[in-house]
Amino acid sequence: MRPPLRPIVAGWFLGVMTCGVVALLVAALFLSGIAFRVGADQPHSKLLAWAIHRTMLSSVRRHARREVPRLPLDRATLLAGAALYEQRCIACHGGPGIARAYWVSAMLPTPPYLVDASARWSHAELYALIHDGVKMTGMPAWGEISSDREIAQIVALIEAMPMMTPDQFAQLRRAAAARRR
Amino acid sequence: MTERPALGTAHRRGGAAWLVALAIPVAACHPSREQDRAVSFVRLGQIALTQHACGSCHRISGIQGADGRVGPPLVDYARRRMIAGVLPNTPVNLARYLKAPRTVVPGNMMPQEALGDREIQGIVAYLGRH
Ligand code: HEC
Ligand code: HEC
Repeated sequence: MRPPLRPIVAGWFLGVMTCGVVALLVAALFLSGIAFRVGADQPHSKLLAWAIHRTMLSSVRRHARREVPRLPLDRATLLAGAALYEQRCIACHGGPGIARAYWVSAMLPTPPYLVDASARWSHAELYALIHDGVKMTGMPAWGEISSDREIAQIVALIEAMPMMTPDQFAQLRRAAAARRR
Repeated sequence: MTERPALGTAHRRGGAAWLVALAIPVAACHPSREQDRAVSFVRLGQIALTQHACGSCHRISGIQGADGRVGPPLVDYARRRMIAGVLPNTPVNLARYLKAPRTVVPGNMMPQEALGDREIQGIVAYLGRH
């Protein structure tokens, strides 16, 4: 009357075992360096590049906190932001009219210019990106070594960038450098 | 002290065969870069446009994530008449502009990335085709 149970269980068990063995083989291919080469001298395949970028986008969107400090874009804030940006960011990200350090094009992923960043990311997302960093890219978690106020000053500078001429940005850099002396 | 047994030639050949077997699929999946003369200029340009982050300021077709709105879109650039409104669009002029954009248009936001000659030729070739 009852359906025979044993062949179903046996079949199920065999299926699970097959999946397990295939998964182990695939994992072994990766762990032994056969299926993936970590060298950064070759670009990712299109599909992988898309998947990594998509993951980064979604993760930043999901984990951006709702309440983050926002400072007025006044001269004092921008000067403080410019001083921090000069020390910590400009080599990798450049600025309006300012090229990145020459070795940065050898990074994979390579750090983008940030003039357009405030159009791509909300205030909270920019704050999260800078505070938390991005794993496996070279983008440091600046929150580990900065106060919340410092992060907010840097975000303010990035949000002000598309409102500046390159000459104004250069002046701001000079003024920030003079203040540090 | 114990002496290490020498590897037999058969062993070594086996090892070499293994290495070759490993290297072939790896090399096949990864087309080579910049210095490699076998890479076409267009491909070189595609990689240079990516690695010099041109897409953070420009829209460029065929470059992943190149959706910047700071500078003009570089799509269909072969049909463009003037470069930045001041130079006739020829390969020589485009190379000159890319080498030092601010000498062509002073005060311009476009930065002067450190581009190699082959990279510039590659970008010119790529923009001429896309
Ligand atoms: C060692 C190089 C390096 C330094 C220094 C660095 N970054 Fe980054 N940053 C990166 C890389 C690489 C990425 C790209 C991450 C990605 O594409 O997933 C990135 C991404 C970003 C992004 C997201 C940009 C976008 O549009 O996708 C922002 C914003 C940013 N960084 C801000 C900063 C700020 C602000 C500083 C200084 C406090 C800084 N970074 C310092 C390497 C760096
Ligand atoms: C920080 C932003 C920024 C970056 C990064 C950038 N550009 Fe530009 N680019 C601009 C701006 C702004 C202009 C407009 C300048 C003008 O018209 O005077 C421009 C103009 C150009 C032009 C002339 C466009 C036209 O209308 O004829 C070309 C070609 C060009 N860029 C190529 C590149 C390439 C290649 C790269 C990467 C090596 C690059 N740009 C990186 C901002 C940028």
